Amino acid sequence: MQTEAVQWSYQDLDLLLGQEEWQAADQVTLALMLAATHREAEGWLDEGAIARIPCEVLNQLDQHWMRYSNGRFGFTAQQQIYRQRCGKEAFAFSREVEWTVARFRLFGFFKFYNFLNFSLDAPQGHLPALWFWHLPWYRSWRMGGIGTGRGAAFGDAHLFDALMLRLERCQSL
Amino acid sequence: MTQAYPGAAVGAIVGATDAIAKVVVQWVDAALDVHDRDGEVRLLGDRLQKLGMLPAARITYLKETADTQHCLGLQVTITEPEQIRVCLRLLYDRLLESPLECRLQILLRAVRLQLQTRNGEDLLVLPNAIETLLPARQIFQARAEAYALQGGEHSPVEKTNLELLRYRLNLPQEEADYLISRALGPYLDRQAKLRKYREVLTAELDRGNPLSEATWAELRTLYQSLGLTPADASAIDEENITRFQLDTTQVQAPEPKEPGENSGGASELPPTAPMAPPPPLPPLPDYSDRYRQEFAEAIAHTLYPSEFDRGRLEQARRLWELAPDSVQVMEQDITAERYGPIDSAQGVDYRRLRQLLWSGQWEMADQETERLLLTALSPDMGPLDSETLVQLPCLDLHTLDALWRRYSQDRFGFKAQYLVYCQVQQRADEFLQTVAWQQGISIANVNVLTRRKAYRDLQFDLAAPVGHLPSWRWGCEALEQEYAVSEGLVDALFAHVEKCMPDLSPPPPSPLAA
Repeated sequence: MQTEAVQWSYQDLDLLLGQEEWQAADQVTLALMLAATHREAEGWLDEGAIARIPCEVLNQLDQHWMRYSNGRFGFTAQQQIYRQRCGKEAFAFSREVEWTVARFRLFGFFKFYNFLNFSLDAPQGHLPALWFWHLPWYRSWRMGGIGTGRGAAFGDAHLFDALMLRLERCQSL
Repeated sequence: MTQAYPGAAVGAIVGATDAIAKVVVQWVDAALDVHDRDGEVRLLGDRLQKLGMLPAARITYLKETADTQHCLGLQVTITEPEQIRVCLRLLYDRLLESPLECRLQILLRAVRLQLQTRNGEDLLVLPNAIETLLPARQIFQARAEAYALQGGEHSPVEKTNLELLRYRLNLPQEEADYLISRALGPYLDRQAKLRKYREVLTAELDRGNPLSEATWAELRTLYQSLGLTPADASAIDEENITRFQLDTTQVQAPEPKEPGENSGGASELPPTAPMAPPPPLPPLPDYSDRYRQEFAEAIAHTLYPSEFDRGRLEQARRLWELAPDSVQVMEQDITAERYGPIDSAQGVDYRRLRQLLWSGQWEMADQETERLLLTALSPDMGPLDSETLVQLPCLDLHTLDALWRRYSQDRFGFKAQYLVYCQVQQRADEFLQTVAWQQGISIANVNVLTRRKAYRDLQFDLAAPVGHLPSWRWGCEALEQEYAVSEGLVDALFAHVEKCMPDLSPPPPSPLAA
């Protein structure tokens, strides 16, 4: 990540989303989330940070994604699937939006980030995803990954629950 | 012509052949939203109906489309000229109460009068303008009836006025006489009417004293249709009742008040009582207690009084001339008494929580509790930690606890949780297991293994362990995979409970905990 030197803004996000540069937009999204929670140094978001990310930031990001993707990508698109199709189960959600390699439990480990589908053909709710993939090596290992983030890891979709809870709380504001 | 009004075609116009006019009232004020407008329309409609002068079918509610609930306005089909005056009078009263821009249209055959105003005074010029447009016979009859309702007979000046009106309208003498005698009814002059009323009252009192409320209502109808004023009637009532030398204090309301709305247009003029010297009116009884009782009955079995009860109460409030504000306070007090107080030091509205608990929706109530605590304590809805939690005012803590306790028979609530906490010698981990938020295996009082539950695996019913609810989801960062309450939070909350409920001194360690 090249977040250290560059201050990203919503205009950058606008620009990238407008050009359908979904992967780059996803990176900017993570950068904005890190900046909002003052976790640039750590470079990843834990539950505590997600539970306290300002509602305003969350809403802004969501609106940008939803607008440029016609409702395909964004947090509220994810929330809809999470609630209606997955019974609020984060792992079921991951399979539903094809974040995992296969739908069966046996091969239900997460894809490597580069193998996600960065186009409008991706399933509903597929993006944004990078914030969810960036994990420290110890968390990655604990889940059976190889220390490079979420790729190849099983289970522990806790972070996603945290984000959905945060979104729900922000909506009841 | 009616096609020009949205929805006029929907409410099929009453095809009465005797219709002489139509009055269309629409609220057009920009400050009104759909619901408020609907409320205004319905209020006016109800009041019109309450007068009893118009059959229900004469009032048509205008809607945008057939399937919407909300009315734009209403249309009244008029068969008697006096009804126009009554409609205008009601609208005038309403505009004085709440001056909102409304559009009034009166359709008299080919003529259309239209007025858009928020000022009730503007309406007062209309009746005279309309009079010239109506058939002569009906105008004369209306005037004669209006006079007859004031004092029960035609005074000399009224007679002269009628004579002038007859001349102006070019009405034959015999027809005028017929209309006058019809207006006055079987008892021609005021004395005869007073006599009749006295007779009836004495007969009723002979049958039984005190009179029942139903009888009083009938008597009220009687003197109203005789055209007597309430003052006349109450004078006779007094006289007779004192003659009977009987205690009248239990008798409800010998109608000492102007029945403001019931007499419609006639109430504009001061009552003329030239004959009987008006005795001092009995003091206005205080109807607050009565209203209190009525309201308590209405909510005795339900937190939401039915539409019917609400209407009835509103009617009673008007009849008894109670101010809306004081009634609201009264209602809040009674509801608090019956369903638990909802006081807050921070202006938090606990009504929804109360409703959810009352209706036994435990999971929703649990979420609402979180929402209330977060709105009160955490400006951006972030989860609460030990430091923010202690800022919860004791009053709010009490309210929350009392509501949960009331509807769970002391099973749920902070107090129940605190008692559990005391039972387990104030050990946070033991507490979490006893209220079944965690499962664990402990060896020699030391937890060796804990397994957290998911939030959705909590038990949302009255069979749950004591203290199981409300959950402390407001302290959690994530819920669905595991509902994890930190032990620090347990100690912090209970320290705060101890502070707020000092009378809850920890009981001596009970043998249960051992």
